[in-house]
Amino acid sequence: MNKSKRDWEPRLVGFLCNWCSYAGADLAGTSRMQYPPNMRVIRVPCSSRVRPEFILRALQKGADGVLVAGCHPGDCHYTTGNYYTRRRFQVIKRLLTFLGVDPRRVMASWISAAEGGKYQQVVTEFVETIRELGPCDFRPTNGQIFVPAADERTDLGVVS
Amino acid sequence: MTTIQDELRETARTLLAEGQVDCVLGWAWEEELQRAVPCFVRAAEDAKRLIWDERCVVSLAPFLLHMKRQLSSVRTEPSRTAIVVKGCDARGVVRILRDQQLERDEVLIIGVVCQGVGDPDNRPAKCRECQYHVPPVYDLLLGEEPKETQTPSSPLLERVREIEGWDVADRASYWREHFSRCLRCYACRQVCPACNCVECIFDSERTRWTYKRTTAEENMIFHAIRAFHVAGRCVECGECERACPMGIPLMEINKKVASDIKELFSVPDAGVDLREEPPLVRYETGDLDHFV
Ligand code: SF4
Ligand code: SF4
Ligand code: SF4
Ligand code: FES
Repeated sequence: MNKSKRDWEPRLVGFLCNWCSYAGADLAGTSRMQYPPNMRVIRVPCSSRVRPEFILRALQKGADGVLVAGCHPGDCHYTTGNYYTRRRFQVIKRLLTFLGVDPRRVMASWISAAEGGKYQQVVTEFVETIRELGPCDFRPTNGQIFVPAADERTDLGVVS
Repeated sequence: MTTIQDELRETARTLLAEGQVDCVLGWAWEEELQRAVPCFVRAAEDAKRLIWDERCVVSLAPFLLHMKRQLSSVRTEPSRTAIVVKGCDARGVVRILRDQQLERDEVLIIGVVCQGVGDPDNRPAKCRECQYHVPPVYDLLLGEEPKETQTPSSPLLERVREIEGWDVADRASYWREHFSRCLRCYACRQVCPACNCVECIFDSERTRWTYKRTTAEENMIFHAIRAFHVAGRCVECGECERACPMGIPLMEINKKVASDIKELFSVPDAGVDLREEPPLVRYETGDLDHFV
């Protein structure tokens, strides 16, 4: 750990499904609930849109923790998406743990559009957990985050 | 006494002579390389080139796929290939059929009863813990079914449990060491019956999620993603690890995922049933939920 924990702030990435969890986060915001600002939110159409590649890439590009959140089972806007998420998530989490990623850095939660309070609580607790764990070392050994060469940069295109 | 090899040659000859199949895919001995290589027999009189013994280590299953893809541009007639399989190879053929890369009637499966391949004093790990000496799926079977079968213990699973017991930091450095040696030659993928994608994400020009650099981190992502892509479909044939020129213990990862999936979703082994539905493309409403 090269930075002291004092001037280090956890950086989290949250993949929130558009129909429930993103709306739940929105509700937390409009209700002026207080929670730490450490989570960068990425809106996805459904929790099942989150490929494991997304989680890995987030960790490698500097996230200290990743949250995947979606509708409660039975409430997915696409009826069954989160049932697949539930199966896949358990497998990928155990696999990453096996490969040396602390299991506390990857979490999933069901947060409905009405659960602003739950969103507040999940984020607060997650930030606290990561603060205790310290920075994620799932990054290049030389501390440099890989920047693609100019000709590869289109690959990083924002969202098409 | 007629050996399985004699039976195999006779079967292949008949199948070709009667026009039941266009090709028999089996093994032949290559003197120059000193190893058994895939052999595509198309004429009945060449059936005598086929061999079956302990030297037939390589799984032929992926060659079905390579052959079909290479010939698809020139061949318009429907064709049928007979393939010779050991138990582990049969599961690879099931994988390819279940993933709808071939039609069932394009393949005739000749199963051989196998007691292990390679050096008898130093069998590959998969043979030492094999549960499928008789192929789980076949059209024709050569050899005697053994009377009693016992389920052997699995040193590989024990190894997985051992790694699970380490500190997370120790696991990270263990895999970092292994992955930093990976060349990204993709041999592991080429020989894998579950890696049957027409275009692999690692070959795609614009994936946005994967890069070809051979740093430990990029390679870790490669291996995590490949393991996840074959999760629930990997037939544990061990071909990836056998093909790896760098000796990376890939089966430790595959076994980990396979045993987790069995435990989480109570499913049978992959590739033993032609009607199987891979566990990650379906769900039960009552699946475990305590992790959220
Ligand atoms: S075969 Fe081995 S060296 Fe080649 S890509 Fe696979 S793991 Fe890496
Ligand atoms: S053991 Fe390796 S080669 Fe065989 S199916 Fe599994 S991943 Fe593919
Ligand atoms: S690594 Fe993934 S994308 Fe590539 S062939 Fe295997 S399953 Fe398909
Ligand atoms: S739409 Fe929310 S999980 Fe599918």
